[in-house]
Amino acid sequence: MFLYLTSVIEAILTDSEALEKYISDIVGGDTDALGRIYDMTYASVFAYALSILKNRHDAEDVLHECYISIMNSAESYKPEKKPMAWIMTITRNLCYMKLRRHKTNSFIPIEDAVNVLDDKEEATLEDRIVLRECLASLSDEEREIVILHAVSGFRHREIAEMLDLALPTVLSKYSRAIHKLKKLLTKGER
Amino acid sequence: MKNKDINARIKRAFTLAVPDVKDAVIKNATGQKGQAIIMTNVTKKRSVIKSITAFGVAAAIFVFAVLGGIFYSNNYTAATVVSLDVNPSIEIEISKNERVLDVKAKNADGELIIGDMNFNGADIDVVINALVGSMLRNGYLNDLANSILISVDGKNTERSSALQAELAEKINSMLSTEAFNGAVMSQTIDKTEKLTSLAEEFDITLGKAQLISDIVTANDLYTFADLVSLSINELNLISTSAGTTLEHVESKGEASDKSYLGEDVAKQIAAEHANVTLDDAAFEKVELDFDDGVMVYDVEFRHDGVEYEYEINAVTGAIVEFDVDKDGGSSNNTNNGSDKAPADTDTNTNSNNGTNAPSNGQNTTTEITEDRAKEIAFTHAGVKADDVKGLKAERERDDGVVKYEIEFYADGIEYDYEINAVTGTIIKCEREREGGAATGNSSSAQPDSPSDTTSPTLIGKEKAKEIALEHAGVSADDIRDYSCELDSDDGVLAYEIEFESANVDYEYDINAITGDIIKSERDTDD
Repeated sequence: MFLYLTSVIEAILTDSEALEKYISDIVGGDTDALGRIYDMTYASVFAYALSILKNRHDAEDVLHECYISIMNSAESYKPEKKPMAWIMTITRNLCYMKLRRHKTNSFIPIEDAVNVLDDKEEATLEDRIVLRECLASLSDEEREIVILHAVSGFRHREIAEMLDLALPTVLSKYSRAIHKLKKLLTKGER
Repeated sequence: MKNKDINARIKRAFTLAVPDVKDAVIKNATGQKGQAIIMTNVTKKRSVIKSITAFGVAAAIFVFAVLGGIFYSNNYTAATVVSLDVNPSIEIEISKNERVLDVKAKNADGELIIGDMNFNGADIDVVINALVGSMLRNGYLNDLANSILISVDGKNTERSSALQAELAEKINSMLSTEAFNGAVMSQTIDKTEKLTSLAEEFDITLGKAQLISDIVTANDLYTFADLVSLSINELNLISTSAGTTLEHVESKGEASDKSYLGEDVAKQIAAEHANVTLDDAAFEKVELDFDDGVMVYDVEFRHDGVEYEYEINAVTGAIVEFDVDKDGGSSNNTNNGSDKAPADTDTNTNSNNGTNAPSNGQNTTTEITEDRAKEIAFTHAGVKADDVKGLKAERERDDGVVKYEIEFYADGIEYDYEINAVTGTIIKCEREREGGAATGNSSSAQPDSPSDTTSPTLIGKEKAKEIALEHAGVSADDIRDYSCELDSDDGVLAYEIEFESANVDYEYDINAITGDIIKSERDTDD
């Protein structure tokens, strides 16, 4: 019955509206709503964390911490139609806290993160190349911007606001990053 | 490739990369909140808990001390040394638990590879990954020189063999995702006193020493000292070319001979010099060899009852030596490559080292000149000496290997070459777009009118479109969503063309100068 309702809910509401509803459900004591939120956001959270930390173990930690934080902060969420941005902000803060706490974890090579795909049957060689090049060949800011746009679907304007950058900066970093990636990815195909 | 395609691929790769931890995450998050409620009831039991915990702590300390001792010996006593050799040489000390205790560079190239990475306490797998990755990024493992030697030296032979096999496999699969194929040689070290003293005398790793030792044992042509300055790729080539079986070293993949002329060219050179048509020559042997400090092709063939033997410089193509054996007469000639003596003349003893023009201050007769090194670099890069800017050339000595470092710009690309001064082989080759990929706000499409005016030899977008359509077998009227961009990849200008027809997506890369189809793809939409 609940499942039926949720699919109806998700069909009628936009993603943002559904997320906001689930967040307020949590405040009301509904812990199943967290599961729904997870389903809608896990890729964005993990990808974003990975893009900042470049390290899958830390990214996984943040994945855990993020939803704990959502549970605990649901009460203080103000419905402004931007639940994704709120969740990404939580993610980003958790990432930076981690970075401040242990700085020297970043020698771990990119390959370690790419190897996460070993367990996924559907992962192709191209997926590995994409993952590797995003982590290895882009600057930190470029990578954050690309992930926020490609995985979470944020508009450049929204990204500018989230990262506190000027819009033209975001646009040019984004296009530089995509340009780099296109080259690297088509080279790999040869 | 369209932006939306890239975005889709990124989204896919990162989504797949998420571990399957939903249950754990939810449990953690919701359980957490539950715990918070219980906590407030616990305060009354505190004093009882206090004494129990005190005892527990004491017990725990004892257990930790014991475990700590075991932990220490497993993690900190050196059990095994793993070395990597390509040109760079690196030694990795690992503990019984296969955790890294120390990483040492054995030469300057090795230091470059290590850079400022800090490995202490990491897993051997992770470290190997990082080092091989660094070699790839720094251009030491590439198309031209793809061989790497991994040697394991440990007290427990079984473990060493297992580790050797595992790491060799791992490196093999790492390299197989690159655009070239790697050649991985692996071995466990049989540490004799002789080996140790040879390694020390020539300042090379035990691994390289054992490889050279194996080659020398199997093949009397060489002495140990001869081979010390060669790279692993060259050593690999020599031993496979001669068909030698090595005692300790196992080999996967094939050494790259792309920096050499190739057997076909060598045959041509030999036949031409002998005034024999290529087809009429019955070739008996064509082998890559190392002689007198130079990589050469040994070419032997017969024609009309005459036996011909040639030694041809594998890089320059100069004829180092030739020998003609008619029934009843033999003449031996060492020759300067530029004059062509017809095969029948004999006692022309023009002895000269084939590769060298006399020049200033080069100390040994077996070194190539700086000009020759530049030539080699330019030819490899496909540029003309006149088009080159910012040329820098330096002769350097690095761990007993003398080399030329050559840097220059051409066509918006920065080239960096290291060329072995003795053999003329390209040790390292790096290319970078001048100033990096940043080209400001515009998207990837390079407007092609400016390029057309500076290089009038481009075929033009219309012609490129024709070529693509013809290859695809569709007519211009049947296509949709056509796009054509001029782009430059590694110095090759190409038109990137995309279009759809019927249910098929087509993609072409067409060389903007020659019109050759570099790449073509078709994708049927289901």
